[in-house]
Order: sequence, then C-alpha cells, then structure tokens
Amino acid sequence: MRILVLAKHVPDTTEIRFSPTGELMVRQAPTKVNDYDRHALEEASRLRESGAEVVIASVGPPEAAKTMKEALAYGADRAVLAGGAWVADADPEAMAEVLAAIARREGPFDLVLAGDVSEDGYNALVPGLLAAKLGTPYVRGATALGVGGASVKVTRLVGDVEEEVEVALPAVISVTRLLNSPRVISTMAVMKVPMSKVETVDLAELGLDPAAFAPGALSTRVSAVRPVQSKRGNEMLRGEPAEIAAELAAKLRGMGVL
Amino acid sequence: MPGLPGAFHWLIYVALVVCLVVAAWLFNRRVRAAGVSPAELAHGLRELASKGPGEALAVVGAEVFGQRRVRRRPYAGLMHLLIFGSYGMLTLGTVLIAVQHDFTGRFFGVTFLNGNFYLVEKALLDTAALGLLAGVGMAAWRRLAIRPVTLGARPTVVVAYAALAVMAATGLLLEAMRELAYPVSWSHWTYAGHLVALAITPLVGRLNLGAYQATWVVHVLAAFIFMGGALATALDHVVLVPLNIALQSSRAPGELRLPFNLAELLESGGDLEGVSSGFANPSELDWKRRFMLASCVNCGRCEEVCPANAAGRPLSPRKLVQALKGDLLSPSDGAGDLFARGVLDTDAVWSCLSCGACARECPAFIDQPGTIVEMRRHLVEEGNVDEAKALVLAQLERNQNPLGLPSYQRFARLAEAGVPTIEENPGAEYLYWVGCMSSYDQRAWGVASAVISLLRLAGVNFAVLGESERCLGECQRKLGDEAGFQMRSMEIAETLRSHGVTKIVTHCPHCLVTLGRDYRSLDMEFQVVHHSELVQSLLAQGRLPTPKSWEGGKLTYHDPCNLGRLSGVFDAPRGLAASVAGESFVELERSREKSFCCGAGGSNYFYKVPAQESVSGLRLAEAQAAGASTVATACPFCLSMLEDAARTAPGGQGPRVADLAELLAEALGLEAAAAP
Ligand SMILES: Cc1cc2nc3c(=O)[nH]c(=O)nc-3n(C[C@H](O)[C@H](O)[C@H](O)COP(=O)(O)OP(=O)(O)OC[C@H]3O[C@@H](n4cnc5c(N)ncnc54)[C@H](O)[C@@H]3O)c2cc1C
Ligand code: SF4
Ligand code: SF4
Repeated sequence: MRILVLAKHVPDTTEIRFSPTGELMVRQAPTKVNDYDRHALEEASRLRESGAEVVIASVGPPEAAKTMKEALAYGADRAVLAGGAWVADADPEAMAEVLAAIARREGPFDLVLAGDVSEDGYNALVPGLLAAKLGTPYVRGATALGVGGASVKVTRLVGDVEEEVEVALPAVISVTRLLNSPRVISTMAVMKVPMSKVETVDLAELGLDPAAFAPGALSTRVSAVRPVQSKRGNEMLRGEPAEIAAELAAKLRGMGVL
Repeated sequence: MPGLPGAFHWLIYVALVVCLVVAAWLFNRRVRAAGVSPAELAHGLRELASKGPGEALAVVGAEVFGQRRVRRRPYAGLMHLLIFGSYGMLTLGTVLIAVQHDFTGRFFGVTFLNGNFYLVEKALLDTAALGLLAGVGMAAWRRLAIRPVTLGARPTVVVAYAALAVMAATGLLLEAMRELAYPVSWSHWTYAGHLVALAITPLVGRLNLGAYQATWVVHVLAAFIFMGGALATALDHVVLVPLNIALQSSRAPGELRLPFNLAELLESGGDLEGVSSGFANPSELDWKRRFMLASCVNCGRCEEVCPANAAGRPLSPRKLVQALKGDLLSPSDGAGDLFARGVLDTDAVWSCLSCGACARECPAFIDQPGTIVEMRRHLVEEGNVDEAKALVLAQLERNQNPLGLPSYQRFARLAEAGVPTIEENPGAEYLYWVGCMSSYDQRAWGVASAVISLLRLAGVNFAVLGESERCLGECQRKLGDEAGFQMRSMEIAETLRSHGVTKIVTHCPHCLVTLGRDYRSLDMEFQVVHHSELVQSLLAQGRLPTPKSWEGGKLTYHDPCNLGRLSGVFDAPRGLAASVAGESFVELERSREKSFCCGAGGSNYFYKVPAQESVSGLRLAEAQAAGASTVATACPFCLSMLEDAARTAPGGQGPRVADLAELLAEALGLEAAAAP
C-alpha cells in the first residue's frame, strides 16, 4: 500500500499577534507542522509499520524543510516540498493544484491522508479540491479508520451522530484530532532525520506553468485582515466558599447557562 | 599457638590463600552477573586514582569508617556499627598478632604487642567479640522478630551471621581455655574471656587438649567461611558498596548524567543514528551504572523518605532499583523495553519528583532520581508519553514556556513595573532571571514584584532580558527531552553572552540549578545566586534595613528541594526568616537536607499521576502541626503548590503561604513594584 500524507508548514497561532499599529505579525511566529496533519502522519506511520510506503507532500516556503524533518520523524519514507515566492499569496485552489501534481508525479497512491483543516488558513478546502483534481472519492473528518484490501472504512462524527462510510481506494480522507494521539517527537528524533529525505521541487519540475500561480492569476485573494475584539468579562466573587457557590449558581442561572 | 601442632600454624596461611581465591572467584562471578568485568572495574578505579582520589577517599572514609549515612537509623545503624566495627577490630587484631608472630618477631626479633598496649589491645578485642555477638543478636532479632518487608532470612544470610556469631563465641571460649591452662595475673584485661573461664571452670576443670583443638578448628573455619563465602555472597555489600561510593562520589546531588554534549556532537558532524540519551533495558547501561544497581542492599531507606511513596503514588525507589537490579542479574523473558516486559510501570517513573531525598539517604550511593530521568528519556525518544507531557514539550517549543502562554507576553508585567531590559541598561551588575512562573502566573508575579522592590531599595543595578528571556527547560530536561534541553541551553547561553552577562540573580531554584550547575557541566559558566542569598547579604551589608516587628504568628520555612538539598542553600533563607519573624521562627520536623517536597519537582507541576494523597497536602499538614500561621518558601513552584494545599486544607483555609522576599518587602512597608 502506498500512502501520501499532506503536511502543512504553519505559523503557531498562539504566537500570532497584531502589532500596535494593527498589522498582523505572522512572520516572527514560530512554525510547526499543522496540528491536524500530525494525526494523519501518526496514522500513516502506524500503517507503515505493517508495510505501507509513506510519502509526505507539502507546499510551503524554504523554511518548511525544517518542518518536513519534524513530519518525517513520525515515521515516513520521504517528503516532497514544493515552493517558491508565489506561496505567500497562494489560495486553496493553487495549493491543491500543486499537491495534485506532486501526487501524480510520485503516485499512484492508494490513500491520501490530510488534516481536516489548517490552523492558519482555516479553509478546510484543500483535501476536497485535491480529490476532485485526482478524480477520487473524498471523505471528510475521520475519527477512525479501518484500512483493508481495496477499501477503507471511515468513521466520522456529524453533530451527535456517528457515521460509518466505506469508500473504495484510492481515496482522499481528511482526519480530525479524535483519530489518534500522535506520539511526541523528541528533539533528538527530529535531529536524526537526514535532510536528504526532503526533496525540494519547483513548479517547472512538477510540469506546472509558473504564470498560472502569479498573484493576479489566482482565483481568490485575501483583501484585508482585521483584529476582532471579542467581549469577555470576568468578575471575582469573594466570601466564604458556600456563599460564593450560591452566588455563582444564581449568576449562571441568570445568564441562562444553568 | 599453645597446644597446637606446628603444622596447623602454616596450614592457616594455606587456608587463607585458598579462602581469598574463593572469595575473589565468587566476587568475580557476582560482578560478572551484573555485566561488569573486573577489568572495567579496575580501569574505573585507576581512572579515579589518576584524577586525584582525594575526594573519593574522603567520601569513602566518611561513609565507610564514619558510617555517616548508616548511622542515621538508630537500630539498624547501631547494629551495623557493632558488626562492622567489631569485625574490623577483630580482623585488625588478628593481623597484628600474625605480623608480630610470623614476621617481625620471627625474622627480626621485634615485638610490638607488649606492655600496656598489649593489655589494651586484649581488652579491645574482647569488647569487639562481645560487640559482634550483640550486633548479630540485633540482626537476628530484626530479621526474625521486627521483620521489615525488605529483609528476610535467606539461607546464605543465616550462614553468614551464624559464622560471625560462632567466630566470636569460640574466640572467647579459646581465650577462656587458655586462661584455665595458663593462668595469668592480668586476666581482668581479657574480661570477657575471663568471665567465660569462670563459667566453664566447673565443667572442664582442667584443659582438655582435644576440646581446645576442636574449638580452635571451629573458630578458624567460621572465620574462613565468613571471609571466603559471605563477603562475596550474602554480605557482598561489604565489597560492592565502598567501591560504588568511590565511583559515585563525584556526583553532585541531583546532577544528571550527560549522555552527550550536543554542541560537540553537532560540531563533530557525527552520525546521530544510534545516539540515545536514556535506556530501554538495564542491560544497555554502562558498567558503572550496572555496578551501581548491583550495589543496592535493599535497605529501604530511600523508600522511607520518598515523598512520592508517602503520598501513595505508585513509586518506591527501593522497589524500582531492586526491579532494575533483578532484571540486570536475571533478565525476564519477553521482547521490548523494560516497560513492555513488565519490569516497571511507566507510572512509577513519572511519579518521581526529582527531589533527591532518596539519593541523599542511600548508604550505597545509588542515583535513583537520575536513573529515573534516564528511563523518561527513553520514553520520550520513543514518543511514548501521554498528551499532558507531550503538550508541555510542544508548548516549550512554541511559546518558550511550559504554560502555553504567548512568548510576547513574558515581558508585559515587568515592562509595566518599569524594569529595564539589558539593552536599556547594559551596565547592570546583575541580570535578574525572572523565570516562567513569575512572568506568567499572577500569584507568582508577587515574588518578582517583591524582589524588584527590594533590589531597588538596596540600590542594586539590575536588568532583565525581557522578551528574549525564555524557559531554561528544567522541566523539559526532567521530562526526558535531553537534546531539546541542550539545544535550548546553547541558544540561551549565546543570548546571555551576547549581552556580556556574568552575574545572575534568580528567585527560582529550578532556574538556579539549571543556569548554575547544569550549564557548568555543559561548559557554560555563569555566576548565579538565589534571591535569598543576595537579599540576605544586602541585609548583612546594611543596604536593606532590618524590619521592626512581626505580628504574623509562628513563621516556618519549607526548604525547596532545588535550593536546599540540591544546591546546599540552607542558611540564607533562614537568616531572612529570622530577620522577618525573629523569635517567632519555628523549624519544621523535616527541614534542611531532610526536607520533604512540595510535589511540583521533576516536572510534576504539569501533569498528574495516580496518588492517594497530595504531596503538598502532607507538607502543609506538617506546617500546621508545627503551629505555623505563615509558611515561607523560596520557590515559585513551592509557593503555588503549598498555597493550593492551604486553600483546600481540611478544616478550612490553612496557613498563609508566601515567599521570603514578599514577607520582607511587606515588613519593610514596600509597595508592590507594580500590580497589573
Ligand atoms: C493573511 C494570510 C497570509 C498567509 N500567508 C501564507 C504564507 O506565507 N504561506 C502559506 O503557506 N500560507 C499562507 N496563508 C495560507 C494560505 O492562504 C493557505 O495555505 C491556503 O489558502 C490553503 O488553505 P488552508 O490552509 O486553509 O487549507 P485547508 O483546506 O484548511 O487545509 C486542510 C488540509 O489540507 C492540507 N494542506 C493545506 N495546505 C497545504 C499545503 N500548503 N501543503 C500541504 N498540505 C496542505 C493539510 O493536510 C491541511 O490540514 C496565508 C493566509 C492568510 C489569511
Ligand atoms: S537504593 Fe539505596 S537506599 Fe534504596 S534500598 Fe537500595 S541501598 Fe537502600
Ligand atoms: S527523587 Fe524524591 S520522589 Fe523521586 S524516588 Fe527519590 S525520594 Fe522519591
């Protein structure tokens, strides 16, 4: 079995802030593997233990090579990273186009695993777009996977309902954080991954036309980013524990929470 | 030897040689079973000698001849002293007689066992024989009547003790028989033999040569059985422990083994494949640590003082060391690491608080906390840790603090308090290392605020790193991510050097140990003092006024493990406490080196393990029992843990918990530096 895992290099959202002048400060933030993708990597690594071959695909800036080492430390055979100046302005459609090119070049794959959503863009579009481009079925939001033979059983949570879907391979499946608990990756484990396992390619090498990825050529464009103030208050209750508890209960009832 | 054929005499030497050969063979088998070759051992000792054996010898002297740690337990200590001291004296006495009789006397006509010296020696040897009997009696009583769980009456042990008792008893009997055959005027010096002579006079009347010879043979056999057999089997600790003490003597309390120096490793560009910082199975340990495990005498002292064990966590350092030793000597079946094979449960290694109480107590100098961290390293390298621990490691990576709060908020409170950064005040004498707790935790900020006020009042020129300060990774190291810790250390040391920092003050003992001792072991040198030391010296120099009155009731002080036991800072905090509370200061039952723990050490602040009670609750109850209405401490983690315990103390709000700096600043009427 051959598996392609999509792993995105993202800034850490807990470290993103707006500067005093209101600009979004993403560049200084530390970067990492998108958390959802870690679950896909973990799942693939487990399947690799029973013989699967695992390739990681990513589109990102040159610094993403470091992130690829971290992704490889979960246990994968190699990673292909496509990048270029255009990445900074890319949209989900462009990302999916490049990822599809990687999938075709490295393929064929029986299974493509992706995270359900990226922490930075938060579009939850790329895996579906990729499936459309590859002409395979797509199942979103797996909480459990049962891979066997020519199909895969996917469990997904839809509101309060658990749904089980059986889908023929090859297929693209995006996974949620309920799927598994990814192993911790120690600093030493990342250091042990040789850089030679990360292959960097550009658009031309993937047989794509760079002109199609120029800012003006993309179908969407982020036109503005604004901080939104969410109203959160806090109130300290003082007194004896019993009094505090009663007062708290009254307040919660008043708000309609209890 | 009166009454014995001459051949007996020389036979003893033959028997002695045979006995020493047998002992050496048994001992060799013993250490080989633990995977240590005598050549390695010899090499290790030579290495120790070439590095200057002074320190090792001093430690061995204090521990073996001074019985420093053994003496801490009254019953076991007395028993051990009686057996060890008496056996030692008897051996020495016998050697002296042999030297005079068969060497100096025979060849040079020189004798030294004469006159009063001889009489005193005789009296001492009689005392030793009685002491040995008393010691063996105490040992028998302990194993048969008191029966601590750790001790049983294994056949080899019974033989060893019986041999000692027979040796002592027959020695006195021989003396008595000699006295009856050749009465002397000074028999009151050999008082014990004399008493035995009085007792057997009616029985024997006159010396029967056959009985004398038989007794003598039994005496010598018992001595040889003990020396040739017991010392290399049941009582092998007699040889193992002093050697292990010598080999482990240079380890500072709480110092972790460096599996590699990452800077050197990266510089050499060597292959990292196969590099690991911990161990999956005891058989992978180097010989020194295998020897160390083999030295455990199962005395249970570590278990007795272990706070994790006291709180009903699934950890006993004794059982842990014994399990590793057992697996080393006869590995259990099964594949995988020691956890997969059921030698230990992972909960045991995560229960440890790295408090060092066990290691300080262990008479065999075993490094329980360090060994535990090495198993954690293995678990982390395997990715085999739960989400809470994984989260701490991830947050350290992302936010540069274990709490998961944004790195850019680290400086917020300090900026508001108007504390200059090192860029703003490059001439600062001290860099104030604030640490994660006080940078992010509202309660712990109170400590930093008090320290800032005190330093300002005393006119100390200081600055902080500001946003470029980040977690030193003490928790990361204790969680087992050694490479991550070293990587972080190199970067932090670079930041400090780039600002020309040499002197650092910190109020966090975890930071103190890391920036001081741990960095030194990685060849990065900074002078680091704890705020209690600096403030105490400012008081002594008169740069801070002495507070007037104290109305807070009884004040006690909890020694933080990293400050006290692991850094040896005991007096400065007590000096501070005394200048704040004067006569109202009371010591806790477990204080100074014997201090308990707050329950946060070894990264335990950040995750939970199964337990019956909380370590902090036990400690708080001790303070309450001492009648304290204020508990002072000198560590932001202890502060948080004990305050939490006070909030939830049975019977309502417990005593007040505060840092010494806060108490002093308050007593001096200082305003908080800023109260955001
Ligand atoms: C202001 C702003 C600035 C931005 N700057 C950058 C930037 O500098 N660099 C940058 O890369 N992005 C940047 N982005 C995000 C970029 O627009 C998105 O990467 C793109 O639109 C894809 O959408 P998504 O991330 O929401 O993907 P989703 O559809 O939410 O992603 C779902 C899953 O698809 C896979 N996936 C998605 N993208 C990739 C990828 N690139 N490689 C591998 N797998 C992937 C992952 O498995 C992921 O879990 C920025 C976005 C904004 C709003
Ligand atoms: S580790 Fe040390 S203190 Fe603990 S049982 Fe063994 S010898 Fe005794
Ligand atoms: S270091 Fe402390 S908690 Fe850990 S085993 Fe030793 S005594 Fe117990």
